[in-house]
Amino acid sequence: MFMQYQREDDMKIINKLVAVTALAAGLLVTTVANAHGIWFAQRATQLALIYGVGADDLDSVKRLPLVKSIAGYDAMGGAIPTRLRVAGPLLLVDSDSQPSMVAAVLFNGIWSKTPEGEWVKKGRDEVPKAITSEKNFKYAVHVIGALNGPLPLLPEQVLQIVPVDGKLPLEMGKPLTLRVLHRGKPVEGARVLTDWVNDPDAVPVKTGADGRVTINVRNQGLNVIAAIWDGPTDEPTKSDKIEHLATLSFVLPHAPE
Amino acid sequence: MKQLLMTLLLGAGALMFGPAQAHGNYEPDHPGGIVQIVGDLSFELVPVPGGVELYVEEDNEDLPIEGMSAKLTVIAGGVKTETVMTPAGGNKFVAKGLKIPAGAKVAVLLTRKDKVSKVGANFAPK
Repeated sequence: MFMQYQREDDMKIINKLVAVTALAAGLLVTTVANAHGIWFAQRATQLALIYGVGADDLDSVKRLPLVKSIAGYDAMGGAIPTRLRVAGPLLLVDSDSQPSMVAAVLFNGIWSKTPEGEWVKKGRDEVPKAITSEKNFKYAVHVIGALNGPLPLLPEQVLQIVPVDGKLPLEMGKPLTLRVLHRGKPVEGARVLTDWVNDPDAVPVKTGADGRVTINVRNQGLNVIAAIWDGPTDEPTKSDKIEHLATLSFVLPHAPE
Repeated sequence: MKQLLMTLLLGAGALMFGPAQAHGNYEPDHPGGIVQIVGDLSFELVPVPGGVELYVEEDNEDLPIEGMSAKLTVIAGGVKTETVMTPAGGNKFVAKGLKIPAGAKVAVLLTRKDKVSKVGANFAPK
Protein backbone atom coordinates (compact mmCIF):
# COMPACT_ATOMS: atom_id res chain seq x y z
CA MET A 1 0.00 0.00 0.00
CA PHE A 2 2.73 2.39 1.04
CA MET A 3 4.60 1.48 -2.11
CA GLN A 4 1.56 2.37 -4.24
CA TYR A 5 1.24 5.83 -2.61
CA GLN A 6 4.96 6.36 -2.99
CA ARG A 7 4.70 5.49 -6.70
CA GLU A 8 1.74 7.88 -7.16
CA ASP A 9 3.68 10.66 -5.44
CA ASP A 10 6.69 9.96 -7.64
CA MET A 11 4.51 10.05 -10.73
CA LYS A 12 3.02 13.40 -9.66
CA ILE A 13 6.50 14.85 -9.21
CA ILE A 14 7.62 13.45 -12.57
CA ASN A 15 4.50 14.80 -14.28
CA LYS A 16 5.12 18.24 -12.77
CA LEU A 17 8.75 18.12 -13.85
CA VAL A 18 7.75 17.14 -17.39
CA ALA A 19 5.18 19.96 -17.50
CA VAL A 20 7.66 22.56 -16.24
CA THR A 21 10.36 21.36 -18.66
CA ALA A 22 7.90 21.42 -21.58
CA LEU A 23 6.77 24.92 -20.61
CA ALA A 24 10.34 26.14 -20.35
CA ALA A 25 11.23 24.55 -23.68
CA GLY A 26 8.09 26.08 -25.18
CA LEU A 27 9.06 29.51 -23.90
CA LEU A 28 12.55 29.13 -25.32
CA VAL A 29 11.23 28.04 -28.69
CA THR A 30 8.64 30.83 -28.67
CA THR A 31 11.28 33.40 -27.80
CA VAL A 32 13.43 32.40 -30.75
CA ALA A 33 10.51 31.80 -33.09
CA ASN A 34 9.09 35.25 -32.37
CA ALA A 35 12.30 36.88 -33.51
CA HIS A 36 12.69 37.62 -37.17
CA GLY A 37 16.01 38.34 -38.76
CA ILE A 38 17.48 39.79 -41.92
CA TRP A 39 20.00 38.09 -44.15
CA PHE A 40 21.20 38.06 -47.73
CA ALA A 41 20.49 35.30 -50.23
CA GLN A 42 20.65 34.73 -53.95
CA ARG A 43 17.38 35.13 -55.82
CA ALA A 44 17.47 34.56 -59.61
CA THR A 45 21.29 34.99 -59.54
CA GLN A 46 21.01 38.38 -57.84
CA LEU A 47 21.55 39.21 -54.20
CA ALA A 48 18.46 39.98 -52.13
CA LEU A 49 17.88 41.17 -48.59
CA ILE A 50 15.54 38.74 -46.88
CA TYR A 51 13.39 39.34 -43.79
CA GLY A 52 12.01 36.37 -41.92
CA VAL A 53 12.87 33.23 -40.03
CA GLY A 54 13.38 29.67 -41.22
CA ALA A 55 11.67 29.04 -44.52
CA ASP A 56 9.48 32.09 -43.94
CA ASP A 57 10.79 34.56 -46.49
CA LEU A 58 8.46 37.41 -45.54
CA ASP A 59 7.45 40.66 -47.22
CA SER A 60 10.73 42.56 -47.23
CA VAL A 61 9.44 45.36 -49.49
CA LYS A 62 6.93 46.30 -46.77
CA ARG A 63 9.86 46.61 -44.36
CA LEU A 64 12.01 48.78 -46.64
CA PRO A 65 11.21 51.92 -44.58
CA LEU A 66 12.65 50.12 -41.54
CA VAL A 67 16.03 49.56 -43.22
CA LYS A 68 18.45 51.99 -41.61
CA SER A 69 21.51 51.18 -43.70
CA ILE A 70 22.68 49.13 -46.64
CA ALA A 71 26.33 49.00 -47.58
CA GLY A 72 28.70 47.22 -49.94
CA TYR A 73 32.43 46.78 -49.47
CA ASP A 74 35.26 45.79 -51.80
CA ALA A 75 38.03 43.30 -50.98
CA MET A 76 39.99 46.02 -49.14
CA GLY A 77 36.98 46.98 -47.03
CA GLY A 78 36.40 50.17 -49.00
CA ALA A 79 32.82 51.31 -49.38
CA ILE A 80 31.03 50.77 -52.70
CA PRO A 81 27.93 52.87 -53.43
CA THR A 82 25.10 50.44 -52.74
CA ARG A 83 21.33 50.70 -52.59
CA LEU A 84 18.31 48.46 -52.28
CA ARG A 85 16.12 48.17 -55.34
CA VAL A 86 12.52 46.99 -55.22
CA ALA A 87 12.02 44.27 -57.83
CA GLY A 88 8.53 42.83 -57.51
CA PRO A 89 8.31 41.28 -54.04
CA LEU A 90 12.09 41.39 -53.55
CA LEU A 91 14.64 43.88 -52.25
CA LEU A 92 17.68 43.44 -54.47
CA VAL A 93 21.14 44.73 -53.70
CA ASP A 94 22.18 47.28 -56.30
CA SER A 95 25.90 48.14 -56.16
CA ASP A 96 27.98 50.26 -58.53
CA SER A 97 30.60 47.50 -58.68
CA GLN A 98 30.80 43.93 -57.45
CA PRO A 99 31.20 43.85 -53.65
CA SER A 100 33.08 41.30 -51.52
CA MET A 101 30.77 41.94 -48.61
CA VAL A 102 27.40 43.56 -48.04
CA ALA A 103 25.74 44.62 -44.79
CA ALA A 104 22.40 45.98 -43.64
CA VAL A 105 20.66 47.21 -40.51
CA LEU A 106 16.91 47.18 -39.87
CA PHE A 107 15.17 48.74 -36.88
CA ASN A 108 12.03 46.79 -36.20
CA GLY A 109 10.61 49.13 -33.59
CA ILE A 110 9.50 48.52 -30.03
CA TRP A 111 7.35 45.51 -29.26
CA SER A 112 5.54 44.58 -26.06
CA LYS A 113 4.08 41.26 -24.99
CA THR A 114 0.72 41.60 -23.28
CA PRO A 115 -0.31 39.44 -20.30
CA GLU A 116 -2.51 37.59 -22.79
CA GLY A 117 0.60 36.60 -24.72
CA GLU A 118 0.06 38.86 -27.70
CA TRP A 119 2.90 40.88 -29.23
CA VAL A 120 1.94 44.48 -30.08
CA LYS A 121 4.10 47.13 -31.70
CA LYS A 122 3.96 49.53 -28.75
CA GLY A 123 6.27 50.53 -25.93
CA ARG A 124 5.84 49.96 -22.20
CA ASP A 125 4.58 53.55 -21.90
CA GLU A 126 1.55 52.45 -23.96
CA VAL A 127 1.27 48.91 -22.54
CA PRO A 128 2.06 49.35 -18.83
CA LYS A 129 1.03 45.78 -17.95
CA ALA A 130 3.31 44.27 -20.59
CA ILE A 131 5.23 41.15 -19.56
CA THR A 132 8.15 42.44 -21.55
CA SER A 133 8.89 45.34 -23.88
CA GLU A 134 11.84 45.35 -26.24
CA LYS A 135 13.48 47.33 -28.97
CA ASN A 136 14.44 45.20 -31.93
CA PHE A 137 17.46 45.73 -34.14
CA LYS A 138 18.38 43.36 -36.97
CA TYR A 139 21.83 43.26 -38.52
CA ALA A 140 23.17 41.29 -41.49
CA VAL A 141 26.60 40.75 -43.01
CA HIS A 142 27.11 38.61 -46.10
CA VAL A 143 30.50 37.47 -47.36
CA ILE A 144 30.66 37.02 -51.13
CA GLY A 145 33.21 34.46 -52.28
CA ALA A 146 36.18 33.41 -50.18
CA LEU A 147 37.19 35.22 -47.00
CA ASN A 148 40.92 35.90 -46.99
CA GLY A 149 41.47 37.84 -43.81
CA PRO A 150 39.73 39.29 -40.79
CA LEU A 151 36.21 40.50 -41.39
CA PRO A 152 36.20 44.26 -40.75
CA LEU A 153 34.18 45.49 -37.80
CA LEU A 154 31.44 47.67 -39.20
CA PRO A 155 30.26 50.52 -36.95
CA GLU A 156 26.63 50.15 -38.05
CA GLN A 157 26.70 46.48 -37.06
CA VAL A 158 26.24 47.04 -33.34
CA LEU A 159 26.11 43.25 -32.89
CA GLN A 160 28.35 41.41 -35.32
CA ILE A 161 29.48 37.82 -35.85
CA VAL A 162 33.05 37.40 -37.10
CA PRO A 163 35.04 34.29 -37.95
CA VAL A 164 37.98 34.20 -35.53
CA ASP A 165 40.52 32.88 -38.04
CA GLY A 166 39.54 35.29 -40.80
CA LYS A 167 38.57 32.48 -43.13
CA LEU A 168 35.67 30.17 -43.87
CA PRO A 169 35.84 26.42 -44.41
CA LEU A 170 35.30 25.04 -47.90
CA GLU A 171 33.17 22.10 -46.85
CA MET A 172 30.13 21.60 -44.69
CA GLY A 173 30.61 19.77 -41.42
CA LYS A 174 33.89 21.52 -40.72
CA PRO A 175 34.25 23.48 -37.48
CA LEU A 176 34.12 27.25 -37.53
CA THR A 177 35.01 29.36 -34.52
CA LEU A 178 33.14 32.63 -34.33
CA ARG A 179 33.18 35.60 -32.04
CA VAL A 180 30.11 37.67 -31.28
CA LEU A 181 30.87 41.32 -30.64
CA HIS A 182 28.75 44.18 -29.31
CA ARG A 183 30.25 47.51 -30.34
CA GLY A 184 33.50 45.64 -30.95
CA LYS A 185 33.61 43.96 -27.54
CA PRO A 186 33.08 40.22 -26.94
CA VAL A 187 29.63 39.27 -25.72
CA GLU A 188 29.04 36.46 -23.26
CA GLY A 189 25.83 34.49 -23.44
CA ALA A 190 24.80 35.44 -26.98
CA ARG A 191 22.52 32.72 -28.36
CA VAL A 192 23.99 31.40 -31.60
CA LEU A 193 21.94 29.43 -34.09
CA THR A 194 23.97 27.52 -36.64
CA ASP A 195 21.34 27.47 -39.35
CA TRP A 196 18.77 30.26 -39.13
CA VAL A 197 17.05 29.16 -42.34
CA ASN A 198 16.83 25.38 -41.99
CA ASP A 199 16.84 24.87 -38.23
CA PRO A 200 15.59 28.03 -36.52
CA ASP A 201 14.20 26.12 -33.52
CA ALA A 202 17.49 24.47 -32.63
CA VAL A 203 18.75 24.85 -29.08
CA PRO A 204 21.09 27.85 -29.32
CA VAL A 205 24.76 27.54 -28.42
CA LYS A 206 25.88 30.27 -26.02
CA THR A 207 29.07 32.26 -26.43
CA GLY A 208 31.69 32.10 -23.69
CA ALA A 209 33.18 35.00 -21.74
CA ASP A 210 35.47 35.75 -24.69
CA GLY A 211 32.49 35.92 -27.04
CA ARG A 212 33.59 32.76 -28.79
CA VAL A 213 31.60 29.81 -29.95
CA THR A 214 32.56 26.93 -32.23
CA ILE A 215 29.98 25.45 -34.55
CA ASN A 216 30.01 23.00 -37.41
CA VAL A 217 29.07 24.57 -40.74
CA ARG A 218 25.82 22.94 -41.75
CA ASN A 219 25.32 23.49 -45.46
CA GLN A 220 27.21 23.05 -48.70
CA GLY A 221 25.28 26.04 -49.93
CA LEU A 222 23.86 29.05 -48.13
CA ASN A 223 24.75 29.30 -44.45
CA VAL A 224 22.97 31.85 -42.31
CA ILE A 225 24.33 31.92 -38.77
CA ALA A 226 22.40 34.02 -36.27
CA ALA A 227 23.33 35.48 -32.89
CA ILE A 228 20.77 36.97 -30.52
CA TRP A 229 21.75 39.08 -27.55
CA ASP A 230 19.72 41.22 -25.17
CA GLY A 231 21.43 44.48 -24.36
CA PRO A 232 20.48 47.20 -21.89
CA THR A 233 17.72 49.57 -22.80
CA ASP A 234 18.36 53.16 -23.79
CA GLU A 235 14.75 54.24 -23.11
CA PRO A 236 13.59 52.62 -19.84
CA THR A 237 10.11 54.14 -20.07
CA LYS A 238 9.50 52.40 -23.39
CA SER A 239 11.53 49.19 -23.38
CA ASP A 240 13.11 46.84 -20.85
CA LYS A 241 15.92 45.80 -23.17
CA ILE A 242 17.23 45.96 -26.71
CA GLU A 243 17.19 42.71 -28.62
CA HIS A 244 20.02 42.58 -31.15
CA LEU A 245 19.78 39.88 -33.81
CA ALA A 246 22.77 39.59 -36.12
CA THR A 247 23.35 37.22 -39.01
CA LEU A 248 26.50 36.23 -40.82
CA SER A 249 25.83 34.54 -44.13
CA PHE A 250 28.05 32.98 -46.76
CA VAL A 251 27.89 30.32 -49.43
CA LEU A 252 30.00 27.18 -49.66
CA PRO A 253 30.12 26.40 -53.38
CA HIS A 254 28.83 23.09 -54.61
CA ALA A 255 30.99 20.64 -56.55
CA PRO A 256 31.59 21.22 -60.26
CA GLU A 257 28.81 19.71 -62.30
CA MET B 1 2.02 -3.43 -62.62
CA LYS B 2 2.98 -1.94 -66.00
CA GLN B 3 2.05 1.50 -64.71
CA LEU B 4 4.22 0.98 -61.65
CA LEU B 5 7.14 -0.09 -63.84
CA MET B 6 6.68 2.91 -66.11
CA THR B 7 6.58 5.23 -63.10
CA LEU B 8 9.75 3.70 -61.67
CA LEU B 9 11.52 3.94 -65.03
CA LEU B 10 10.45 7.55 -65.47
CA GLY B 11 11.59 8.33 -61.95
CA ALA B 12 14.98 6.72 -62.54
CA GLY B 13 15.30 8.61 -65.83
CA ALA B 14 14.60 11.91 -64.15
CA LEU B 15 17.17 11.09 -61.47
CA MET B 16 19.82 10.39 -64.12
CA PHE B 17 18.86 13.49 -66.08
CA GLY B 18 19.27 15.80 -63.08
CA PRO B 19 23.07 16.08 -63.02
CA ALA B 20 23.35 15.91 -66.83
CA GLN B 21 21.21 19.03 -67.17
CA ALA B 22 23.08 20.84 -64.45
CA HIS B 23 24.64 24.14 -65.34
CA GLY B 24 28.20 25.37 -65.76
CA ASN B 25 31.60 23.95 -65.01
CA TYR B 26 34.91 25.36 -63.88
CA GLU B 27 36.90 24.18 -66.91
CA PRO B 28 38.06 27.23 -68.89
CA ASP B 29 37.46 27.37 -72.62
CA HIS B 30 40.50 29.60 -73.14
CA PRO B 31 44.17 29.16 -72.15
CA GLY B 32 44.88 30.78 -68.80
CA GLY B 33 41.22 31.41 -68.10
CA ILE B 34 39.63 31.14 -64.68
CA VAL B 35 35.95 30.47 -64.24
CA GLN B 36 33.46 31.58 -61.64
CA ILE B 37 29.91 30.31 -61.65
CA VAL B 38 26.95 32.27 -60.34
CA GLY B 39 23.81 30.20 -60.66
CA ASP B 40 23.46 29.33 -64.33
CA LEU B 41 25.91 32.03 -65.44
CA SER B 42 29.60 31.33 -66.00
CA PHE B 43 32.19 34.10 -66.10
CA GLU B 44 35.56 33.23 -67.63
CA LEU B 45 38.29 35.78 -67.07
CA VAL B 46 41.26 35.47 -69.41
CA PRO B 47 44.43 37.55 -69.04
CA VAL B 48 45.91 38.05 -72.52
CA PRO B 49 49.00 39.99 -73.70
CA GLY B 50 46.87 42.96 -74.74
CA GLY B 51 44.67 43.13 -71.66
CA VAL B 52 41.88 41.08 -70.11
CA GLU B 53 38.99 39.26 -71.74
CA LEU B 54 35.74 38.19 -70.17
CA TYR B 55 33.46 35.51 -71.62
CA VAL B 56 29.94 34.99 -70.33
CA GLU B 57 27.91 31.81 -70.68
CA GLU B 58 24.41 30.98 -69.57
CA ASP B 59 23.37 27.37 -69.21
CA ASN B 60 26.62 26.32 -70.93
CA GLU B 61 25.88 28.40 -74.00
CA ASP B 62 27.38 31.70 -75.08
CA LEU B 63 25.32 34.59 -73.72
CA PRO B 64 24.97 37.33 -76.34
CA ILE B 65 26.12 40.42 -74.44
CA GLU B 66 24.70 43.03 -76.79
CA GLY B 67 23.07 45.75 -74.69
CA MET B 68 24.82 44.56 -71.52
CA SER B 69 27.73 46.13 -69.68
CA ALA B 70 30.50 44.81 -67.43
CA LYS B 71 32.67 46.52 -64.84
CA LEU B 72 35.95 44.95 -63.77
CA THR B 73 37.49 45.71 -60.38
CA VAL B 74 41.13 44.80 -59.70
CA ILE B 75 42.67 45.23 -56.26
CA ALA B 76 46.39 44.65 -55.93
CA GLY B 77 48.98 46.08 -53.57
CA GLY B 78 46.38 48.25 -51.89
CA VAL B 79 45.44 49.89 -55.17
CA LYS B 80 41.96 49.56 -56.68
CA THR B 81 41.31 49.91 -60.39
CA GLU B 82 37.84 49.94 -61.90
CA THR B 83 37.40 49.47 -65.63
CA VAL B 84 34.26 49.54 -67.72
CA MET B 85 34.85 46.72 -70.20
CA THR B 86 34.15 47.08 -73.90
CA PRO B 87 31.74 44.71 -75.64
CA ALA B 88 33.64 42.76 -78.28
CA GLY B 89 30.88 40.78 -79.96
CA GLY B 90 29.31 37.46 -79.10
CA ASN B 91 29.73 36.74 -75.42
CA LYS B 92 33.00 38.65 -75.02
CA PHE B 93 34.04 41.81 -73.20
CA VAL B 94 37.59 43.22 -73.27
CA ALA B 95 39.61 45.59 -71.12
CA LYS B 96 42.50 46.63 -73.33
CA GLY B 97 45.82 47.35 -71.71
CA LEU B 98 44.74 46.15 -68.27
CA LYS B 99 47.02 43.83 -66.33
CA ILE B 100 46.09 41.60 -63.43
CA PRO B 101 49.05 41.33 -61.04
CA ALA B 102 49.74 38.06 -59.22
CA GLY B 103 47.73 37.81 -56.02
CA ALA B 104 45.22 40.42 -57.15
CA LYS B 105 41.59 40.22 -56.16
CA VAL B 106 39.31 40.62 -59.13
CA ALA B 107 35.56 41.16 -59.33
CA VAL B 108 33.18 41.49 -62.25
CA LEU B 109 29.72 43.02 -62.28
CA LEU B 110 27.51 42.33 -65.28
CA THR B 111 24.51 44.57 -65.91
CA ARG B 112 21.90 42.90 -68.07
CA LYS B 113 19.95 44.41 -70.95
CA ASP B 114 17.25 45.80 -68.68
CA LYS B 115 20.00 48.07 -67.22
CA VAL B 116 19.03 47.24 -63.64
CA SER B 117 19.56 43.48 -63.14
CA LYS B 118 23.11 42.85 -61.99
CA VAL B 119 25.06 39.64 -61.52
CA GLY B 120 28.53 39.63 -60.05
CA ALA B 121 31.43 37.25 -59.57
CA ASN B 122 34.53 37.41 -57.39
CA PHE B 123 37.80 35.86 -58.56
CA ALA B 124 41.04 35.15 -56.78
CA PRO B 125 43.61 34.53 -59.55
CA LYS B 126 46.77 32.66 -58.43
